[in-house]
Amino acid sequence: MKKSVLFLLLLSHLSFAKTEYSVIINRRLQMDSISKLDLKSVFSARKTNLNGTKVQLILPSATDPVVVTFLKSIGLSSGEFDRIWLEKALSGQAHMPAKKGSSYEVISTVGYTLGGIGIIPKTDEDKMTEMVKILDIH
Amino acid sequence: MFKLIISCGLLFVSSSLHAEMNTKIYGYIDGYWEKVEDTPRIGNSGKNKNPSEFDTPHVHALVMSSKDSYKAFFNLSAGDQQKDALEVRNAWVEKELLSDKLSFRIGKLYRQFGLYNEILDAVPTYIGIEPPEMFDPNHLLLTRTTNAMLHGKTNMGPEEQLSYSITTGNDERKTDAQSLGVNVHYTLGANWKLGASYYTSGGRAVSDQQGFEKTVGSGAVLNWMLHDTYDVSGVYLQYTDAKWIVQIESFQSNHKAVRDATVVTSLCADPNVSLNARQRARFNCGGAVNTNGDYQVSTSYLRTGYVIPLTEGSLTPYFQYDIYENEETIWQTDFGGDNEAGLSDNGRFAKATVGAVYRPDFNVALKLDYSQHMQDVNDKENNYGEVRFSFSYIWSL
Repeated sequence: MKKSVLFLLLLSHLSFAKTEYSVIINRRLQMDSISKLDLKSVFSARKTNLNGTKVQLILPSATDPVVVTFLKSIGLSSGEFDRIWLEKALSGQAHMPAKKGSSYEVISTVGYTLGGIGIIPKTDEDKMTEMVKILDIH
Repeated sequence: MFKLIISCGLLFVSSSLHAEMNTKIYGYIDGYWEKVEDTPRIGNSGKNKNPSEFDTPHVHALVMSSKDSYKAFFNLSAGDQQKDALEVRNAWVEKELLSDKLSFRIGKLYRQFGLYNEILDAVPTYIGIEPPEMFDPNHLLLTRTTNAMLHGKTNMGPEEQLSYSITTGNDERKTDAQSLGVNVHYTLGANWKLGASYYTSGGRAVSDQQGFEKTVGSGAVLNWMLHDTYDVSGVYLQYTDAKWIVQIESFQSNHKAVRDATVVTSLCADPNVSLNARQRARFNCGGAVNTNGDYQVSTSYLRTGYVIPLTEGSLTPYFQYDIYENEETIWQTDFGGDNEAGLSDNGRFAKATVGAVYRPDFNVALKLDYSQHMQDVNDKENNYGEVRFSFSYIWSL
């Protein structure tokens, strides 16, 4: 019984660790922190510029558990997120967020995209290059 | 269709050559089926048979390119409604003048007007299959496209934002009229949107289908008007969250119009044109044509949906209720009528719709709904139903 409880605790800890996220940006954006409200404005397409630079979202996938956790933390569901961006893209108002297959791709795309902002699992922070940096959320 | 594919290919090749630009191609296809019950006729108790119909009303390729403060957008359509001809729905360029606060757009563009005008082609993204009645192409309140727009948005607080736009263009102008459109909306967080829109033809406008035996035009001016000076105004409210979508809009237009006596005489005299007693009286059929064509149009709707997450995707049951009133239009679309308000005794009808959208993934939408049209025809309530199914798929390159 004790072993089962320990195993479940370990499992839940591992899955929690897997969905912890980091918000990364292109280093040239010259920002160190952002408020949750501003982040929500950016991810709900209401704010399209940061520090005078056009923002480009780069994500693993809107249904990736890390992205789902991140979106939930700023008060958006993945369904709302998809609907908002599809509407914007299909009416010419904004580009859809770029979808990448791995953290490596998210990091490298954010790195070469001025205005790039992306989400990666916290456990992948060690894969970051000098072109990107982690944004503090307050 | 072939032209559409070639155009997409060329655009993709050109986008690949300019790696510093951010260019994306999106597209969607909407397969559609509908069956309308037998519909009443004007003047007798017989009914018109309506066979079920398959259609591909939305076959779109969209290209958006941006670089620095510049942006360009194409919306090419090749749906059945265009009989497989390629139609440029939108083609515009934009320059950001003052960050998010002010941009200038010019070309052929959908004006910001109400909740739906800009997104009406993006069928897979919204609840419902048919547009709200105010955007039904058989009885538009104004043209959907125009030519120039100044627009922007500004923050009014941590979560509040004000968006605004003014538009102008050729629209339906007859000679020196200069149309003006204004739209303002206030958003609170990602949930609430409250707005108002106004449009004036800015002088005399004419239909691009003016005359007898013509189908409906692309704007608000009826085919039998010599000219029409009109304005449209209304308000809208939207609430969305992870579960709920609620939308309410109400618009009214005022027309100061002059009827073309020759066209109206033909409408009155042709045995193929079915006019009810009220319409004959308005036109003064049988006597000197009444050329005073002043009238009003009013329309409102409520749309609501509730998102139920599933193991794979989501299911959104929805309900819609539309009211539309237009005392001037006639029944048959072959003569410029609208097939709905013009059919009813008093120019008024209501439509209630229930349905559901199933989205197995964000880029696929299967929709099924049923509408009941409610109106008085030949002095009695004469309702009919309609079933529709739509299957749309969005892709991107």
